[in-house]
Parts: sequence; structure tokens; C-alpha cells
Amino acid sequence: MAGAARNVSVESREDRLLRVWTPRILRGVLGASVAFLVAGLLVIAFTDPASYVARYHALQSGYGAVREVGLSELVHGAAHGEGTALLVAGLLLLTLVPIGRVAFTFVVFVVERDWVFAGITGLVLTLLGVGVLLGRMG
Amino acid sequence: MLGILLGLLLLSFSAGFIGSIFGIGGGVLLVPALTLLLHVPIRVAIGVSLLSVVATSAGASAAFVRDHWTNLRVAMALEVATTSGALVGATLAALASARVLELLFALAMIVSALETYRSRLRTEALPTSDRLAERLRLASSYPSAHGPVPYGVRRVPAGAALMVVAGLASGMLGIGAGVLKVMAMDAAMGLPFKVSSATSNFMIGVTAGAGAIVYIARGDVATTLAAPVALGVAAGALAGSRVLVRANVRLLRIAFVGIMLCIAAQMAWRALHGT
Repeated sequence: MAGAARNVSVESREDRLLRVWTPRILRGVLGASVAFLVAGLLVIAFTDPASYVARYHALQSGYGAVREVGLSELVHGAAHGEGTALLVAGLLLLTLVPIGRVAFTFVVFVVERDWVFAGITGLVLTLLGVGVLLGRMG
Repeated sequence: MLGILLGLLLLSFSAGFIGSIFGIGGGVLLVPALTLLLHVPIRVAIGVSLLSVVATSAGASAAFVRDHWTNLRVAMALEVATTSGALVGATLAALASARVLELLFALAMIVSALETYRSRLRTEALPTSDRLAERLRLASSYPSAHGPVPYGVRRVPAGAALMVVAGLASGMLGIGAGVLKVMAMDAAMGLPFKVSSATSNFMIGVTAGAGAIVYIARGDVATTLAAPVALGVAAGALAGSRVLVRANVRLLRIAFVGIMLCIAAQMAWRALHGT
């Protein structure tokens, strides 16, 4: 009986934490991503619109999709307000929306000692990491 | 540049808006719009679309989570299946030819169109869960005017199998595959329709995110397109979710299904004849 009561209270605390914080994480990271994307487009529009147009037409001709931007180059570029670096940072932040949400739920499940779901969300996080490796290999 | 940017924003806003009104997401309209209208290679369009699906899901699902429509435990249990499928799909997309991708996309559009037409609205809740769902504590409740309505969950393995297919379609074709996800939860697992829809919306972000990670790591995401398109689709989806369609929904739905079938035919024609 006591076990059942404890389960109910653990479940409701876990549920409350997830329902309050998950929307905040989703909206917070999405908002940051949108800010970077808008800033990047504005910077390019004011400083180097010709390169944007050239890249757009190159895409339509079926050429390579993107210039790869390394992490150090990205941080340096974003810190100096470079348009493309800001765009890449915004897109990387966008992919962090689901990753951040899964990571948060993993932490909640570990704190609440819900080991089955901690294992499940841990596996999803691992799979997301595998995605980076698959892309690098591909 | 301004003309290109406005064109991309308008196109992606329309895809997000229309997709949101008919509950199919923006990806299934965005990819053909980018390939057929703007002549963007389909692999690039898929990478761009996946990122816009992530943005749309994040914006749309937050309110459903807060209001207790989303079954978070069901979503997380099934995300292993969708993520695995998405990784395989995104990897296969790099190996498949553009023609095969276009043909598969046409097929996905036909399935989406037929499901939109059927528009199932099963709302009755299962009274109890089966043993596995009970062990995973997947049963929950949804809000109603008379207080929370409890519901049970069944056949998790069958739902997970369909979720692998949904993930595969998402990673390979750049769509949210919400139609398949809702089908898995609604028809296979017995969840109430609106709960299935809200939970699918929530899961779409992680599924598309998994595919997007592969495309980004491979260098297949064009920032030039992805930035304005993600902004446009997310804004369109948000606007669409706030518009109550007061017009004749049945007629509108039939017209929309017809347009989708026409686009699917055009994609298939392009795949088979290369024009």
C-alpha cells in the first residue's frame, strides 16, 4: 500500500516536472535558434547579398549543398557576427531542440529513479549520437 | 536577395499554414514545392524539410504537452523505434537515386492524401491497458469539460513496428510522417485520436531531428535555403493552428486531397521521365 502510494507521488512529481519544463525547453531553444537565423539573414542581406544569391543559384544547378563550417570557425564567425556562421549556429540550435528535450527527460528519469525510462531515453540519446557518426561516414 | 528571400518565406509559410490546417505537417508539401517549383535537388530539399519539421514540432507541441493532451511516456517509449527508423532512412537516402526518392515521395503523398480524406476521428478511450503497457505505466488521462478522462494503452510492439516505418519514411523523405504515427497509436495501440495526434506531434521533432543530424553531419543541409524555410514553415504552422476553418471543411478537404494527388502524379512523372 505504501509502495503504491509512493509510486503515485513519484509519478505525479515526474509528470509535473516534465509538463512544466518540457514546453519551456522547446520554446526557449527554438526562440534562440530563430534569433540566430533572423540575425544571420539580416547580416547577409546588409553585408554580402551577392554571395547569397550566387549560392542559391548554385543549389538550383544541383551543386554541393553547403560549405562545411567547423566548430571553431563557427564559434569565431558567430562571435564576430558573420552571417553564414550565425545561420549555421541557428540551424545547429534547431537540432538541439529535440536533443535538449530528450536529455532533460533522461535527467528527470534518473533523478526520479525511473530506471526503465532512464534506459529508454538514454538509448534515444545514444542513437542521436550514432546519427552524427552515420552522417560523417556517409 | 530580397526577392529570393521573400519568395522562400512565402512558399514555406504557405506549406506550413496549409499543412497545419489539414493536420499533415509542412514537409509533405514543402519538398515538392522546393523540387517542382524552385528546381532544388530532392536530396537538398529533404535535408531542408527535416529542419523545418523540427521547428514546426517544437512550436506546435509545447501547448499540447502543457495541457495534458500529449502522452509523454508513450512518446518516449516509441521514440526508440522512430529514431532507429529515421537513422536508417537518412542513411538510405544518401544511397538512393533522386528518381527513387521522388517515386517514394509520390507514394507517401498518396498515402497522406487518402488518410486526410478518411479523416478518422475515433475518440472513445480503452478502459484498461494490457500487461506490457501496464508495466511501463503508459495509461494516462486527457482533459475534458467533465474532468480528466482516463484511457488505457495496448499492443505496444505493434505500435513500435509501425513507428519504425514512420521513422524510415521521415529520415528518407524529409517528412514528419505524422499520418503513420497517428495510425500506429490510434488504430494499433487504441489511444484516443486527439491524444494520438498530440503525441505524434511531440515525437515528430525527435524523429526529424535524428534524420537532420545525419544530413547536417554529412554536409547535406543548405543554410541558404534551410534558414528562411525553417522560419517560414514554423510561422505558417503556428498561424494555421490558430485559424479556425469555418468554410465548408468537407469540400475544402476534397479539393486539398485532389491537389495532393495531382502533385504526387507530377512527382511520379518526373521520377519516371526525368522532367
